[in-house]
Amino acid sequence: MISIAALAAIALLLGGAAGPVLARGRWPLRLPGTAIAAWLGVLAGTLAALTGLVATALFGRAGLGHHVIEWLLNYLKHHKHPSSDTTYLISVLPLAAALGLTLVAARRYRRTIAQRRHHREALGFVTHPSRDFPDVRLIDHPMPVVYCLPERDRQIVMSSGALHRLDAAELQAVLSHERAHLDKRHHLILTLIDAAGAALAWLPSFRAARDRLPPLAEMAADDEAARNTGPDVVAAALRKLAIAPCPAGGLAAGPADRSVLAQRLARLEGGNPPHGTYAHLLSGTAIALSIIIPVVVCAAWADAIPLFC
Amino acid sequence: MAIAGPLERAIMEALWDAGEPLVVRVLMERINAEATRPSAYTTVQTVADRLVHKGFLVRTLDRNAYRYAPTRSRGEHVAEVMVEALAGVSDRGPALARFAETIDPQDAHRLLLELAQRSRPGPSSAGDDEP
Repeated sequence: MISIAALAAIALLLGGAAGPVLARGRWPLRLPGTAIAAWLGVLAGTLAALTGLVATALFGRAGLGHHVIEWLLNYLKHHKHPSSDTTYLISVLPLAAALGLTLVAARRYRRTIAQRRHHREALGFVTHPSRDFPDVRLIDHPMPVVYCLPERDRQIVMSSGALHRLDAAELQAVLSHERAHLDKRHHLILTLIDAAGAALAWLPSFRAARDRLPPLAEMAADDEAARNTGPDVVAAALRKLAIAPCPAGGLAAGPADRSVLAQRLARLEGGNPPHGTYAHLLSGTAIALSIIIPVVVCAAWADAIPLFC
Repeated sequence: MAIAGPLERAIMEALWDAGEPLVVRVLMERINAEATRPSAYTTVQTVADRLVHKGFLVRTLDRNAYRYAPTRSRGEHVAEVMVEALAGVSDRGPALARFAETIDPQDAHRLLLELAQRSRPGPSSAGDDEP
């Protein structure tokens, strides 16, 4: 019972409290890459604790899993724990819930991948390779758009409208930003978290992660671009490619996106030097602990119930 | 599959350029006129049917022969792709990481329409908002 309480406490702490705390903090804006790792640690730790809870219920002394093992082992040595159909039912419920949630997440993931593939095909009919950059495909349209496609050939898509607005240095900044997304596997991270969030939206940390991780991925890519071309150039490119300030008027993006753009510009133009090793060390320890503790609790519990009991 | 990509594109371009529905034989002739390696009749038919299945082409029966036409004009197709690029591929899924910002799908439609400055507002736009 102690292990159930401990795992539940970890799931509540990581799944309920850690995400909102991370979302409120200021340091993630300075260290977006570390913050992404910290978020992943929180979510992975929550998942580990939840998996542990399901396993504990299933293989606990009165659980159905435990009974199945007992039944198998009875060929070797007769023994039996007090149990009933009711306790079996209770022990299986968490597993059923877990399977249902996994299905929800898997369907969401597959839908995203299918939509992305369709977009990629539709794109293939109307883009042509850039003469200057082997990883860039151009689409002829005056609206400024730059983004990247994560699949095998890792392509960056750019509209002619975007290309015409940028000078050579800004173009380099934009390209290093997109290549950073591809190198750091941001699409995979965001897609997985979106899928997990579809199943676990009732946990505040997963809800907050879906909102907070996309901006952090942009900031991490901004930093990478800033290392190559300098922050001023990245900021200039951002201003030129932002759609909202164009003269069409009244077409501003949603308030969330606007404030993200403003935040990105502020941190690029503020010249905020990133924090040193302490923050890295601290967050690294926190990430490791948030995953290791639930695993250790599970292991300790499994050790306390020997199979030949 | 590796061959289908360029052929799919060639079929789409030929049909967009034609401006009218084509039967497979005419379609094949137009594609092969520009290709270094000619495609067989059945190959063109198979790939065209696949494009129908994916929703890029429509197929109509006309005097015992199927005629193929693009679902959308080239301009509408580009607009559609741009809306997806501006607004993220799906309205609820994770946005493709766009460089500057991601905007509301309806804003994207409106922006593109204003930019196009055409009197005809693209008949496809109503159906695109459905998830």
